[in-house]
Amino acid sequence: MRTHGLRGRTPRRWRKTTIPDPAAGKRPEYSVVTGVSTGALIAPFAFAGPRYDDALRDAFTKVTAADIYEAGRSGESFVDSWPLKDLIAKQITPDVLADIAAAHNSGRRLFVVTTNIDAGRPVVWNMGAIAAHASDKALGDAPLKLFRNVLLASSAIPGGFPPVLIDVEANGKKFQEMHVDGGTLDQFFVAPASALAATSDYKIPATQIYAVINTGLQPEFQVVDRNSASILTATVSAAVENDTRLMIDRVYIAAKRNEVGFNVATIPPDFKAPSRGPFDPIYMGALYQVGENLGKSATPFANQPPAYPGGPMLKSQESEKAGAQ
Amino acid sequence: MKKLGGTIAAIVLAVSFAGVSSTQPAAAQTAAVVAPAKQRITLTRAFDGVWSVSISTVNGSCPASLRYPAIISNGLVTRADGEFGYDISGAVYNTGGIIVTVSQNGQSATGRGRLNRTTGAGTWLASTGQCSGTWAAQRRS
Repeated sequence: MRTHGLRGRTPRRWRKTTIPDPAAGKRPEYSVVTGVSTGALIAPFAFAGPRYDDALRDAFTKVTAADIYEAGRSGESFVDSWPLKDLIAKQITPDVLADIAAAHNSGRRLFVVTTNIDAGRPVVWNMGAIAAHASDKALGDAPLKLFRNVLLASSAIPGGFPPVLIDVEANGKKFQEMHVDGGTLDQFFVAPASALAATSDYKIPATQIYAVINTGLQPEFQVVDRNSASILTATVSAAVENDTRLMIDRVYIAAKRNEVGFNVATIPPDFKAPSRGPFDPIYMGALYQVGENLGKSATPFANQPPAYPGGPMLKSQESEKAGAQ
Repeated sequence: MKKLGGTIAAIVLAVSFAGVSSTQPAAAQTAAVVAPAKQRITLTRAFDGVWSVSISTVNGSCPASLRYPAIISNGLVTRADGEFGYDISGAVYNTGGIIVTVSQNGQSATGRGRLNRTTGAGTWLASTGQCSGTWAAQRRS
């Protein structure tokens, strides 16, 4: 089995087919797809197959900030995410769930990660299993609602968006767990943290890992406005960028230990399209085009993590410099 | 999410309607207005409720899109409850025309449009003339 991953808050996929010709614009049918945060919103379409490519493209390039949130601070968050909840309800229809259930029943898997902040732990949801329960009439629309709520929770940036309360029952007691963005603890999901630990002897069941990174990894100087929303946003952005790099390194080391191939695609450092605020369709369209072009290129993936900008020179680089003098 | 909430431009939407100039928002908010035509234009409660307004920038470098909540009560438009960094004021008339002002950090814009029972739409222009675009509204309750 080969493992394919999309970076940060985008889906990560395990695949067992050979890679189709990228220049032809084709992609494989992945055996496992995972999604975290905004990646959770894309993952169902990536999992359901190429027939949803148009929906996936629209979700990335046509959705605006007004489709995601409404201004207005509450006791739980800086903005209200009811527009995103409505958008998810429009996108995740019973038909989509039926296609996901069919794929699940064929042996493929779709996972989405949220963070249970009551427990301080990540929760990996088997979305295909949830979808498969949608055919159980005794459950009514509960599986559909749960599926949608998990997607909303996975992208609920804590403090920015309201948390999502999910009904649970344990030992006969009913409870509401508070879930937020899955990226709070890990930017993308390859395997449980214990399996990726440096001391783990767990064997990752894959032959190749492909990670596609959809967050800028180059720090950009930008004076932060002196208000709580701007300070929190800038802080979270910096933390996400740093955590993503650490996660890539962690997966890279785990892949090497397991003798699994590691492949990563990132946003080219020279991508500098201007953005008129969050979810600017023009910026997102340009970014999508860069990703599509990279995917169709001969070498869309690198086999080691991207270098840190401005970091200390590697020994090999020092030797080259000394030789030149 | 970078700069979320930090660079949201102030916007004033002034929505015109038949017989009432968008340059008269203050008067329009405080009194009935008689149009040159036969129809008497007055404030209306027909649209009272909670509304959500999405704003899209078509021209200029203002934020690509924003969404604000607003409350219409007795025909007057105000911001919804909660902590916001902006102000909204305006009025709705029996023609369906509406004047709405959204302001933040001393910046503003002006627009035109109309409400019906559950939705609304129009255009807007920043007071500096640097940005313009469209807006759409939907009734929430």
